[in-house]
Amino acid sequence: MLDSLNKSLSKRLLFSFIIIGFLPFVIFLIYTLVLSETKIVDKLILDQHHQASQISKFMNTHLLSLDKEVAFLSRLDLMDDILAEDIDKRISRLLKQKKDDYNLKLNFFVINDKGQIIASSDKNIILTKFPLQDKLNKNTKKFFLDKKLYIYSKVFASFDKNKNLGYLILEYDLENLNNYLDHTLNAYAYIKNNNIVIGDKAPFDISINSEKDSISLDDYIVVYQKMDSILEEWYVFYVVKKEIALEFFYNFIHFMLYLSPFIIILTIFVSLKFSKYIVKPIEDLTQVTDEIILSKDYSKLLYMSSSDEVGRLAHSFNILLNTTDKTLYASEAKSSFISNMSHELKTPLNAIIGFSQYLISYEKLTDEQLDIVSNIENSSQYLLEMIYGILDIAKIEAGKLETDIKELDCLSLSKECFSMLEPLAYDKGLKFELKTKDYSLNFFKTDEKIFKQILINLLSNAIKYTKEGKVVLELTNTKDKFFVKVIDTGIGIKKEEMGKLFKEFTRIGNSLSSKQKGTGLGLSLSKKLSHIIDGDIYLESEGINCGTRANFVLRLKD
Amino acid sequence: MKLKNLFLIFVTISSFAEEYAVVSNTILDDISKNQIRAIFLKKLTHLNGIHLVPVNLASDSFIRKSFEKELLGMRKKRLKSYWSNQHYLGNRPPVIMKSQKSALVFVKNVQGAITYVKVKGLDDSVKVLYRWSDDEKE
Repeated sequence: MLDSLNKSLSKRLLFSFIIIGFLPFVIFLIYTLVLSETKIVDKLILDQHHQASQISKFMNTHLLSLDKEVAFLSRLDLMDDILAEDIDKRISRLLKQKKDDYNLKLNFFVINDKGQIIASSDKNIILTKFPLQDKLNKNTKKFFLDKKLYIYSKVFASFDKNKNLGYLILEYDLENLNNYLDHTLNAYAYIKNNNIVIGDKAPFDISINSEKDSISLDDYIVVYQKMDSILEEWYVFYVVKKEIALEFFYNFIHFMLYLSPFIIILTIFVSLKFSKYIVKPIEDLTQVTDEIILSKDYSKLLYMSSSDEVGRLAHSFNILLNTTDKTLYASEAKSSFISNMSHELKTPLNAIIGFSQYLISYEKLTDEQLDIVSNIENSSQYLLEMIYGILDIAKIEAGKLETDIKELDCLSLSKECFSMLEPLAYDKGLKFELKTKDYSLNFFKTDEKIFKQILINLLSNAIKYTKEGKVVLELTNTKDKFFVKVIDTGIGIKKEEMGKLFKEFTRIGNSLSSKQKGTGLGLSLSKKLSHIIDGDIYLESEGINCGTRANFVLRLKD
Repeated sequence: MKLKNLFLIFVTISSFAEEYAVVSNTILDDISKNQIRAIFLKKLTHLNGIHLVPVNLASDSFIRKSFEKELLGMRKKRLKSYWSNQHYLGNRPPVIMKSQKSALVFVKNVQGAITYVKVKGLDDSVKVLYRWSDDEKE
């Protein structure tokens, strides 16, 4: 996976697009799935608390206003009519009026000091005995019985504030409070005191914990609050079914989950489209360059309609192609010129050599004449050698040099070259050694001719540039490389001239070399040849008169 | 003779007068006319340790009108200014009952209560303190 990503730009782009497309979605989804529910539940609890305290406040305000009403009514002068047994029905009428004003399930009535109901908003109970007289306690002003709340106030005579005439009592049906409970949220909303419940009770019992004010069950969220003032012993409850309260949230989650395959498909589709779109010009470019490489027709041009980075690349590439084409043309012209010229030169030169040798062998020349003709022959031989070298280079450059790779015994090949050059070294009085201690290869696949040519070249170079000391040919190999080292104690090379070494027709100008014959093609040719058999040559030297080490490296192939 | 008789009948009818009485709870002793006046003006509030409660009838009552003229000797306007002044002293006008019936029940029920009603239909449950009649046509 990672490997294929590394190899393909379009796959990398696709991968990045998919990541960019998915990541926010996945994060959002995880957030919604994991965190949102708790947050929504918390918010819900908070809202319910707010609702509950609001309800509690409304209820209390309502009851307190009733309480005030009772106190107010009880202080009216009209209450003196208790003493006249409300024969004129003035109190009853007033109470009826009040009841009608409230339009609630409630009853006002007045009892005298004997507990007899003197006046009431409900005329049916007038003159009956009030059964709960013993509950009337001056301190509390209220009491609960079943689902009824009784708020009462003592009545005193207007003409004598010490004279107790009886009580004004409000019998309030607590079911009235149901109007304050909001059932719109599909919640169970109710108030509760011991076993008395007003409102819509939850289908299960809730034990109140004074530490907490909410319970989150599996299916329900319960919020409760203690009430105050008149309803101080009561609790207000809101029990919301999670399913209903979080319906929107669950719908949303479902929506997201259902949507995710589409988003995945869409992201992949868009990513594919875009990565292809981006990579397309590059692929086109690659295709054209491949074609150019195959056909070697460098006069072709790339056509890119876009003016973006790839367009600019194509433009630069065209300029490069143009230059390459020109250069190649020039180089080809040079090569063909050289090869033609060399052929033309070879013919007369062979004639010169032939005639010179004829003179030397068959004519009776004087010593002086022999000397001159020998010189002509030598120089011609040298010239011929040079022309062969140039032809080789031209061949290589024209790509016309054909190789013949075979399994070779390099050790014996090296020995052959070694013995070929041995006399040359002995002529100069040099030590000439062959070291094969670290060599363990039996066979090596390479081109015999080229290998030999390079080796002879390097060895003859070493002998040529060494006045005294020794020349060593060393064969070594590592796991994957085969080294042929030619080490001499010759004139060495200046570090700054190292770069010029492999240029054609270049010889390093120093005192020694002027005495040496050389075309300056040797190293350049060797290096080019080594490239053809997938090798390389490099030289090492500590400086002038420190000797040179020529390394010919070949890669071992499986 | 016949004419004289007719005249007599006419006089009798025209001079037919309603009779009224000031009554109190039976617990109270006799009270003089002046004392009644003082009680209704709340100048006298206790008698023999009993808290006195004067009870007026509704302000549109003819009996009240007659009572105020006969016993208080004050017209409505004067009474109004009297109670306005008394209001600032912290005194309030007497309790008002709408009907004679309730006034009578009140008097029966409250010690020291005192009111005025028509004589007609009175029984022993209350004590008559003073009687007067009013000739004025209604």
